[in-house]
Amino acid sequence: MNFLQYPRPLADLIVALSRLPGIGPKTAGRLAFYLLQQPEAAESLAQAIREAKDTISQCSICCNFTDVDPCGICENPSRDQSILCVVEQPRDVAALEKTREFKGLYHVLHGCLSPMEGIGPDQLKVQELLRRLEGVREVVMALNPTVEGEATSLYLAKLLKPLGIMVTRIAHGLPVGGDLEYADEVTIARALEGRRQL
Amino acid sequence: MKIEMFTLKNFRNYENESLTLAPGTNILVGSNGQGKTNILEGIYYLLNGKSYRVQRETELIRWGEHAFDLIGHFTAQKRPLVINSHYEERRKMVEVNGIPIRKLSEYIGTINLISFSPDDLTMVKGGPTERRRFLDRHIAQIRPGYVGVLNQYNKVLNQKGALLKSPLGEKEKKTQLTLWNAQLTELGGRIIRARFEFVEELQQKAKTIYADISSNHEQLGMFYSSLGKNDLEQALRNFSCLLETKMDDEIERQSIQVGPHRDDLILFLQGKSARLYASQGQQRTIVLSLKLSQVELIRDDKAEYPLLLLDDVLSELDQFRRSFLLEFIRSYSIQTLLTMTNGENLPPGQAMFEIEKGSIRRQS
Repeated sequence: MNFLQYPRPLADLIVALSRLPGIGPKTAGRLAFYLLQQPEAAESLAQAIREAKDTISQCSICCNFTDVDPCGICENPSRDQSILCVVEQPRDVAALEKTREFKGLYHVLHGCLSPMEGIGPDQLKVQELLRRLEGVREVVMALNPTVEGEATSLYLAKLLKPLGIMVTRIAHGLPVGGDLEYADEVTIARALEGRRQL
Repeated sequence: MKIEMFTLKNFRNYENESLTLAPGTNILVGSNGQGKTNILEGIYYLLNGKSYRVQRETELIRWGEHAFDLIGHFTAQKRPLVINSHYEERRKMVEVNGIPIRKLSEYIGTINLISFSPDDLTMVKGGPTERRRFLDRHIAQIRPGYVGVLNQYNKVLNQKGALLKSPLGEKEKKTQLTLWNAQLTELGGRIIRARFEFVEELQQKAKTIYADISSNHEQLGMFYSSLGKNDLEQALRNFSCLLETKMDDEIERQSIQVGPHRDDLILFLQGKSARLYASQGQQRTIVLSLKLSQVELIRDDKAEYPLLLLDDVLSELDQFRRSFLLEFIRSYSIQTLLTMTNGENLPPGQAMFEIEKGSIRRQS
């Protein structure tokens, strides 16, 4: 896209928008023009972004995004303090919370091991996890079923097991509503390994 | 498996052309650069979701256009199957019988295809990469899940490679290496096993076919060699063992030393390495035997013959091999598309198409 045809502030806006995940240059252009045509929408968006940025920080215990520290989940006395669920991103906490199935606490790593992106254990919230293990009986790994998620789970399991903590992993296998015929071999093999009695 | 009709829109040099194909041999005739191979490439792309000639799809779009469409009407197991592939703005959309497909693996392998072009002749003399690709492509046609295994294996390899090259200390590297090696053991093990099993089937077929073509004068042999082992159980043990023992070496050299991405298919004639000693003619016979073995293996697996695409191959074969190939096609009534240049000695075919500057004219 040739940005010289736009006034500089508009070009800057388009560039800034196109850096957002899932937004290409065309969508960025459409959004930018919309915002200019709807000054109120632009104003409230700007305000919402600033407020979120200023008030949201990481919980000092679980590293999830929060506006109060410690966050609502960590502060909730009715949650089971002896079980921790480790996830990659804050949005994974939201996904798990939606189900209301899990009653324990969370720990957000903010990524997973990926030497290609220069991410090792030091770039993740691993120390924060090790610091909060008192009274913890079980740690559930709920990382994405990618090779990076798998490596991270293995890494944490190696750290935690010697401390006498039970390390479990959410089942991986076929998605509900999925098609057995078209699943890849690894998925099917893992689903078979994790089979259960009916 | 048959293809009854094929349409190309804005694909390569075709604006909008269709061909109605005969169930037997279809001959595409034209001078060089008129677009004969583009038709074969289109069919290949439609069934495999990628081209064998280029990496990037944008190169497949007709000059000045921004999207292309390929539509194929097929029959497999007596049922009609319409596959429609639309490519636009870096996205491909595939519909099978009008139903959108989300993952390639959901339809790849429903219609099988074996293609043979002069490039394949380098398989015998070329490097192991080409022979591994040959194995992997075939396995993927029969086992749709195999592609996923290969992709994951390569992801782990890339991560491991990056780790070895990272500035981390030796101790930290070792700790993290075990995480990636654990996954390589599983994924690599699956690849090794799949390739061993395929080569075992392949070598039985190819031996017979090679003997037929060479009138029993020569014997073709082959085995899969995984890090120097040619027995499956030994290879698997050896692989997980080497991952451990080579770790220091890998850290030292900052590169990956072990895994099925370094394996090879060893071909030999009369007990001698084909890569080193096979003559031009022998190489052609080997590749022809391998291709025809693939055709038979697909038939064994699917109870139907695959489509056969022969790109400029007949001119590469001498009279005897050529009649052998044509007789093979005829006796099993395999649907074949073959390209030839004008003026070549044409084999008998059921349908003939003349290709000129991106237009297709049926001659007979």
